[in-house]
Amino acid sequence: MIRSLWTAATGMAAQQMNMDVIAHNLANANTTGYKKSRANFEDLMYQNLTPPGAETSNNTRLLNGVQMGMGAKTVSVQKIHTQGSFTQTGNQLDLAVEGRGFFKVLRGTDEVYTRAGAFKMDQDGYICDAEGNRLQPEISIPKGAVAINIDAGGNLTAVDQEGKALVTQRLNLFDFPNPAGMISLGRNYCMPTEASGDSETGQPGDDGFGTLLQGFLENSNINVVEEMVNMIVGQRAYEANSKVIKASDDMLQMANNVKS
Amino acid sequence: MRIGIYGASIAAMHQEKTMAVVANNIANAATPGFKRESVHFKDALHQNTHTQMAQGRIQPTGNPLDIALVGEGFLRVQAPEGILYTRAGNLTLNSEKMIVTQQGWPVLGQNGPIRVEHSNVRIEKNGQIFDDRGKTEEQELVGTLDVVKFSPQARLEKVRGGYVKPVEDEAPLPAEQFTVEQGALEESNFNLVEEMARMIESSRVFEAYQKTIQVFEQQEAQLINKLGNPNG
Repeated sequence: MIRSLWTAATGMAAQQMNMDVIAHNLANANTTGYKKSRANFEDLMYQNLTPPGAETSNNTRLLNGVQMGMGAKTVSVQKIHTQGSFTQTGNQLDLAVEGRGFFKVLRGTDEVYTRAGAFKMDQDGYICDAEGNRLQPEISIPKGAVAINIDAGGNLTAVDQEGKALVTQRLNLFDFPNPAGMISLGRNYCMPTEASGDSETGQPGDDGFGTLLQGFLENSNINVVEEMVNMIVGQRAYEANSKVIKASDDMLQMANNVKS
Repeated sequence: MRIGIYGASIAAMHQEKTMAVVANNIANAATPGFKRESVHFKDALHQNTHTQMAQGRIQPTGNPLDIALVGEGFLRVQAPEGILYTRAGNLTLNSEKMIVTQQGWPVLGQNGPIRVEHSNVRIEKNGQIFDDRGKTEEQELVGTLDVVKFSPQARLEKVRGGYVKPVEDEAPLPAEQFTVEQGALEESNFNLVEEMARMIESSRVFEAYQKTIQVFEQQEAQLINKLGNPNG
């Protein structure tokens, strides 16, 4: 009885974690460049009361044995890096990556990566993100530039009033063998870890890298309906586990009542 | 004391085990590839748990490294303690660009661990993995998933993390009747209504044994009172 009480409790804890992840996803439904998370579960260890294949008293062998599972636990919370949809903003420094790749910005002394391409210019004319961290490698737009064009291949051209190109430079993108292994830092930033592998530098449109869309932002890849369905399923599973606890408790009570 | 009271208590303890199995099934509602357990009672003293290998529902996820096995078979995984088998297909890449499970253990192809260049691979229904390097035409076959099955006589034991292993080191056979669905996961295969019914049944049967034990106890009490009272 105690076994099933604790087993159901692990199930409830797992569903609670599931719900936390879904809540975070839904809260970020409108966050530019946000990638959804998913909690992955595994079953806990099994207690072998009778190992499969054990000999029983009458010289026959048990085909299956008695294995008691101990419930479930969260093994990982994984980022799902599928493409988000695009919103047209018309802002000339808004960039969306169509395909693989991250922008790199320098945040303090750390190199961090983001897919949120809402860039602007800082007071010195450098392209920086919403928090003022400069895009790497640094690109400075000279004074007098009236328009900035960025093509799909990442070629940036700033032109003055007469249409003369003041600066041409190419933007870089960075990719990782396993983006799901990156650590999320919040504020749309992530950093590589041992699990993600080392960054590869490339230009938009290169083999394996995505292309850039100027004047667009990448929405989060959350599908609200999908998250809602996951939420319902999670809530019901939570409920089912709580019923198991209730039933186990009732059985314990009956056991206590054997001696009236 | 009569033997019946022990019989009833052993039977009540069996119901406790059933309850533990039901609890484990329900706790694993969200574990991909989980196969439910059921308890079979042979007689008063022997029972066994049986893993029901029925197909779970296929849930599309859109993640290129999620795979669902439809039909028979297991993936072979190189765990630290040896080769384990699983149907949980929520795979990922490690820092060496090897396809691994969520525990970080390499999934074995027919020629050992599978290395890819990028996580957006294409996985064919027969388990062939193509590295399409993003978008180019030159797709390279980097490995074929080694989907295996066991003979019906093989005894499989569940270890934690959704893995099974054969008890007596039986060699696996190549699986034939399966397809690999990319971008989907196999859900756990239990039916909540069924498990709830089993839970209610188990709890009621337990109650019945409790009543039986009470009756035995009352009978004993009467017996002692009647026999022990010379005036009775």
